[in-house]
Amino acid sequence: MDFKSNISRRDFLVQANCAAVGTASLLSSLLSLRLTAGAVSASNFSDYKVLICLFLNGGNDSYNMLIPRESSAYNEYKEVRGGIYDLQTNPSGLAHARDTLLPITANSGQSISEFGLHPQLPYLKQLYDNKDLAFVSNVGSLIEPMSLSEYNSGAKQIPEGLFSHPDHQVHWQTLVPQVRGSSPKGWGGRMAEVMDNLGANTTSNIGMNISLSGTNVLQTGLSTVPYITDPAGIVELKNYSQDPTVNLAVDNLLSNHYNNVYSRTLAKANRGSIDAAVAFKEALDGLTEPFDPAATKSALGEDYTQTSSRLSMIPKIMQARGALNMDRQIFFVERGGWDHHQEVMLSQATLFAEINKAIEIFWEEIKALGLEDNVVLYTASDFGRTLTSNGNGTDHAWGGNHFIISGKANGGAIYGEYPVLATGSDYDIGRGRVLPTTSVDAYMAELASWFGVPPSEMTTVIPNINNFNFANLSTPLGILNP
Amino acid sequence: MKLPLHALFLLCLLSKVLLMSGLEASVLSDDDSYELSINGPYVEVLLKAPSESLEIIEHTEGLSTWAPIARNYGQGWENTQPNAYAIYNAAGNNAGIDVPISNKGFFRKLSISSTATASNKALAARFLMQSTFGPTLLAIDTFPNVDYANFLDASYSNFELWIDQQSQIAPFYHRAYFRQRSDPDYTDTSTMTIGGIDTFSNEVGHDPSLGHRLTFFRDNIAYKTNWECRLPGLGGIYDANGQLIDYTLYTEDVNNNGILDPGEDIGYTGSGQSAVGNGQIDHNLSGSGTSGKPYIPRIGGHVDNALAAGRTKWDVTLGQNKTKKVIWYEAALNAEDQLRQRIAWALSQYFVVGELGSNNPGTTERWTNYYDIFVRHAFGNFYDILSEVTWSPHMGYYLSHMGNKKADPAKGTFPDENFAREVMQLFTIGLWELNEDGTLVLDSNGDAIPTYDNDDITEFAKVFTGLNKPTDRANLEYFFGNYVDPMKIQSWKHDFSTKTLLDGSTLGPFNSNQNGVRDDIEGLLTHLFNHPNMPPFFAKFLIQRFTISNPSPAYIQAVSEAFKTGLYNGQGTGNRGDMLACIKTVLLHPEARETALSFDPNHGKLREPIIRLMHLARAFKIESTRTYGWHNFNKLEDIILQAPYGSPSVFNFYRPDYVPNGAIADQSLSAPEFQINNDVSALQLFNAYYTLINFGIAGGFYGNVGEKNYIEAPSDLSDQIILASDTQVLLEHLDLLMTGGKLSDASKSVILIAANSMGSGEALVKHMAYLISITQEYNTLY
Repeated sequence: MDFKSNISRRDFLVQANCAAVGTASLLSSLLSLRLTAGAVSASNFSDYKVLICLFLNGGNDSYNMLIPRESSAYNEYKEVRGGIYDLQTNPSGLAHARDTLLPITANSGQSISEFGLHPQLPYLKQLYDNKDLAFVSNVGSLIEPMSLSEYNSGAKQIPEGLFSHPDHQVHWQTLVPQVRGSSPKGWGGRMAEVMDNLGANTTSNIGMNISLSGTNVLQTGLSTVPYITDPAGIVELKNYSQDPTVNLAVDNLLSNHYNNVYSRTLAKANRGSIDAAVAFKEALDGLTEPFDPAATKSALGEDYTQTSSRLSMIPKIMQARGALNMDRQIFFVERGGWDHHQEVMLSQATLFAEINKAIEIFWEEIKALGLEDNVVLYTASDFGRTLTSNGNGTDHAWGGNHFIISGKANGGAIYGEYPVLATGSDYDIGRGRVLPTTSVDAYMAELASWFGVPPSEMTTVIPNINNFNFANLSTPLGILNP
Repeated sequence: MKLPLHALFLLCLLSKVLLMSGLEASVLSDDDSYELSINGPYVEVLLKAPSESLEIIEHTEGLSTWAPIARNYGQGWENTQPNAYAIYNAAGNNAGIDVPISNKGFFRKLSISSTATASNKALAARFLMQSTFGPTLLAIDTFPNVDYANFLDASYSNFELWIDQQSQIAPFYHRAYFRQRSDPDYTDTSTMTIGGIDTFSNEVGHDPSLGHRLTFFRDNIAYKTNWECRLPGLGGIYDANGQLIDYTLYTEDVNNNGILDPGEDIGYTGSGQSAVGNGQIDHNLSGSGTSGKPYIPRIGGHVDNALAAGRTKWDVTLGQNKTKKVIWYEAALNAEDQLRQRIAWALSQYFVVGELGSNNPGTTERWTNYYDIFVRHAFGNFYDILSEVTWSPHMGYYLSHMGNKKADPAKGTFPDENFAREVMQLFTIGLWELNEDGTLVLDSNGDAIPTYDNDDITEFAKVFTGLNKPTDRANLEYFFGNYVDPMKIQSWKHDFSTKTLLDGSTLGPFNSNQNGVRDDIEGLLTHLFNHPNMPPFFAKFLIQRFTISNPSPAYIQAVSEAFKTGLYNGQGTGNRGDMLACIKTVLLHPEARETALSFDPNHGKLREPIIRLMHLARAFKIESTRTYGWHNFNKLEDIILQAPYGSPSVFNFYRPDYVPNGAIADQSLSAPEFQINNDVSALQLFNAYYTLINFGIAGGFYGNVGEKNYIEAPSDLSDQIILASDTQVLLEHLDLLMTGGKLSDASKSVILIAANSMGSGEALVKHMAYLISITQEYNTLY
């Protein structure tokens, strides 16, 4: 290497690093891991709150999750779904028979009161009846509210990449659907940064966002990334803690400066992964019942599924909140397989059974720990699906139904306007794609507000929220008590 | 406006500062390579002859982030990502770039005057890191003319020679590997013809010399499809006379009365248009396995014979769902046609079918048959790949266009939109209109333009109707049907309406018969193949898989050009979509070859995790001790989030535009592989390195890459151990083998210090190789 004579190697490095001056962090300091610098003078929160996103990747056909039972509305449902499914006589039909639905009663806000749940969701019905579960109806990514005529005339902005998986998945996570891609960063990441600045988790060495399902947009903020863990257990770098030579060499390799952006990014990520694993293991090993994946697996037995294996880690991590110094946690759990272009009737039932059981195991554990008022679990999914059939499945659409579980929920009710399902209704933009009547923003604002985001910071977390008029930003939909 | 100039100059000695306040401007500094002036709403950057081997002009607004706007590494000035401001010819053999004016614009030049210090072998090793599953000593030592002084020339001719040699090597077909190790009673029909058509040329027969490793269905029905697609636009199933067959005549429920009448749901036997009726399908399932069921072919499945040969049961059994993967690992580790296999692997990440989402994740033949589309056409034509993928029932199930029917108003059903959407979004044109250099086409408001909307999707969904699962036949691995032959046509299910294409022209009308279905489908594929987006969209994908994450516009343009013209350097078939021309351009473009660029901070990529793992396995000669020699890497899709056939969805392991936080995001660049590099997977991968180097393929007590609690395939470090008496020599050797000689002085110094307490001989080799494997230099390419 022969650098230009009037510039030393050191200068070249510094010079190339100009861009990082404002955001440089102390790589080897555990305290700086994944966190923005918390305001030193701010006080910690006195309460403990946990938000859990259950992401149903692929687009849940949720008009077969929450179904009208009242006769005229049910008949409209049955007709638009092509009749009651029967493998022999009506394989293209998508409707569930009315008498197989698990009946629930809606609140007075809905135009009809009798609804039913998919037959494979008995525990959700129980939670609903106990008022620990609320549905949110016809939710979809929007930039601003719009009517069918405004949609058709193009008078209002519509989200980019309408009905495409990667676009809608990212929109749910960035809450900036006017932008394609993840550059606006995830709202969970932004919320963590806001909460950090307000003094949450001030002394924690693990970031507020913890993912049980890998890297995701939701939890990635401007300066924060989720800590990723795995049902298989905590992975540490081989020989790092055991072999002083390896330990020193790894530390030195990672603290060297890398001019190349890929090397620099990788070194920084590896530094974080190695240190967080050490800290995380220490915290979980300190539990009275240390985290043991094998024991968890055998305890779950036949109920060990992708969803239950991930959800069941959360109570463990919650119990380590003291050792981790955390008063706010955001978890991300994903279950894929919902893109039911075919075999929707069979395959969705299997997935619902898995979700229902996993939530039952999880929520019973949370109740046993007495933490049901500290937790909100909510669902997200790419989009709803077409009400009409493509022969034995459904295609990508827009509005869909979701649920929130919490001891703090005003449950046993359906929030948002459940749409008329008939073809040609004021909600039908064609082929049974339902125009959303509740924005993802309103749904997430409800959660963010409960989590502790003050109204003054709401546009940082949910940039488009002011496009949706709410009398009270503290509880836009009225679902959650503080 | 007052600016802290002294601070600025301290950091950036070669800066030019353009101070703008209203329309007044002044230019400081006196660098010879570029000049700044203001022209209306732009700063004109005049780019003159460079004085150094690498010069990068950077720009910032307000000093928070510097972005490169122009680069010269000896090939003339070019514009760069992320902004890709247009570059134009200016007076006096100079180039110019106009940068939008702002209140505070600063420019500076980074430069380095290096001469290539890499040895020939290091250059060869770096090339092999891009083009194979990892360099081996043998591959480096035998690289064409690697010992000649003038090895490196301006046209990289020795690298091209290597590519030409690779393209001539007989392909390693995954399905052939599978079938050659099958039932010894299986009749080799690969040389047979029917009606004068050599329809069996892809059929693979058992090779007794390879031993008896697999079971297979017996008997053949004289029936074969043309699945090589040698004629333009051919898909579907052909009869003995080479005529397309319309399965409307032979399908279920011909009377469309909702129940099967006698004679319906028949199997088609091909030779004489005869049928075996009434729901009976002639599988010829006459073989009998241990439980009275017919054999399902899988490696090691024929336990009885192995036992007779003196092998123990554990030695020969392998889960059926592992078979296709051990074949893939065999190809990656040992196949001679490494470049073909790397191209196939790249294509399998473009036309994705993953186990998750398939109705039959555990079988072998349909998966290897599908994968062989990529192996077969790796140096062929993109259109053939697109067409075969479209007609494949394996894809047909995955993206649900198999069984797709025209709209039925009575039942209220519509055509499935899944394939129509993804064939555009992922397989051909992408989301946004692109220039040939991969930059976005902008409308008059400066906004990007979508390539299609939802109306186009519903329109094209009609095209992919009337295809269904091929009729069952014998001599296939059978599991709920035939997913090997191309889908059959059922014209009565096809929507024959005239379709409007993306440019407003129309497709059809075609005859309402099987030929019309084919013409409709091939017509749409041809329309997409000829779309202006096709070359740059595929070009960027290919570049990202092999060389760098953020190619310059010039690099994408060159590969687009190769796609369009079918030529590399004036040579080639001249056909649009020529894969050999594309891959040559990807690997031989100066941006992939010039070592000066290793000093450009934005140049390079994170390597794919599975390639990093295969690299170690090849470099350290992992060799199976199992009877049949398979390399049973265990569940890599869970451990390192990447494995053959292991993509979680059709969107591949990572998206091409994934942006990790930090330096890459600050530069507005993307780095796909970081999407699967998380706290767990990154450390799992490093621990897998440790396992491979110290033991080999092993699980349980030993580590995390094997299924068994013993070493199934040990590493062989003998080449390294003989060098271990001299630490410096060992380090240089491992540096060449593992990073192409890229280890920095700083990294070497860390490793040499550590070497003092790492023992000697084998222990030293293992320690040192492990430390190098976790350096940034091993894990990234630049």
